[in-house]
Amino acid sequence: MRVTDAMIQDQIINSLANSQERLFTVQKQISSTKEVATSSDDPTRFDRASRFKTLAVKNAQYLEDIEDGLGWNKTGTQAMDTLYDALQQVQQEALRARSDTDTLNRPRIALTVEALLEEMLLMGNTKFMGKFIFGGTITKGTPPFSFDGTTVTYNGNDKAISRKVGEDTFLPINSVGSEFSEVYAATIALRDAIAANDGPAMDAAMGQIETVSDTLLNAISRGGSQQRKLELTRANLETARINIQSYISQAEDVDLTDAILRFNAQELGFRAALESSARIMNISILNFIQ
Amino acid sequence: MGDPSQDTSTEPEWIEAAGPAHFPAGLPGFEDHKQYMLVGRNDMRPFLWLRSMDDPEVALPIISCLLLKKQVVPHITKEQLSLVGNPSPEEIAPYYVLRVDANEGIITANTKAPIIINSITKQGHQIFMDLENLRVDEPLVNLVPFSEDT
Repeated sequence: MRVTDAMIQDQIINSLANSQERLFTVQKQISSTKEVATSSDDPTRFDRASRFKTLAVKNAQYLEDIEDGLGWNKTGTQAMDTLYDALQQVQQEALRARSDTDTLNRPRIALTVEALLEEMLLMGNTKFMGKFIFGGTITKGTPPFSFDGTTVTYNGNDKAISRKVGEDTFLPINSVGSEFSEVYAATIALRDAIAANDGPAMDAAMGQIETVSDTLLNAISRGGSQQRKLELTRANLETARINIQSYISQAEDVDLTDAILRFNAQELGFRAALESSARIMNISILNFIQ
Repeated sequence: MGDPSQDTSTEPEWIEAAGPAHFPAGLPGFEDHKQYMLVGRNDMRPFLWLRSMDDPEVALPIISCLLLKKQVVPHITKEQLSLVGNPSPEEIAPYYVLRVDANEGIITANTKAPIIINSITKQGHQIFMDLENLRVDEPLVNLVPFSEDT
């Protein structure tokens, strides 16, 4: 039978696959060599491991709280982004109304602004897990913003909501509606000015909208900054969780030396198979690395 | 037992692989531990332990990233380099922290949070790499050169 390059390659690939499979099998077997230390085996060591286990449990709780906080924060930032987009559209409508010489179009533009205002109110009353996110610590009952047709009222407070992310560390997760409540007054002023065909009032409202746009951008930026802090803290806690598990896994749960020796033995076998295959194929191992 | 603190005369000798490294911020979870030694055993190369000099019981198994796939050095940011005194790429000694997955019984590496040590100044820091293809529990076997990508 003629042995082709393709056949040799297939054989090598099979050989390597088998070697890797054996590696996985041995790795799995490590779990059967676990030795669980008890307080009577080595009290000092057991105490230390227990202390770190307690820390690991606390970290897990902090991580849960951070996930919840991130959900709250991101929902808020997204809502403010949408609010900002709507405000941009309001600005465009204002420009259209101001430049439109056909004043008959203005009532229709006023209606469009009214619709955008409704959308902005919805954003202001966004909920996360059934709670209003922009009312400060007032998260249930009356929505943060109510509208009676002429005025938008903020019903929340200015208090921060925080999550515990360390023994003595708390991070704020919310933006309060009072940070951007002026956007509603400015939009209403514009709507009314357009409906009344009042050019100077439109100009004044447009100026107001420009100012509140900046205010809203600042609130969005603060929300983004909160998010970054939460994510950094999450990364740190996640790393701590793994480090502690690493320490515990070698200090108490598993005979790591055994695991490593087995890994080394098997991995060497794996390499040997590859090197010998590489020799047959007359190729450098470097080819595989690249 | 499987760590350098449990030295007995029947086991091979633990060797100091590198002098004291200073971690100004400690390591996440071990913030009070600032000074570490790298120790290893001949029969366990290339695995090493980062052993706290503040409490020798605290030791984390590590492996050099340079021996494995998924290199970290090109992805280290300037800000992260500044944490260890701005070494050049070839002066960085990067390591992954290992653990044994209690359920699977396999050795895994935290590729998301490598430890970097400035080999000149011996200043160290555990950094966090926010890259999608990195995992906190990458099976070590997947990182051995020649194994299939995951």
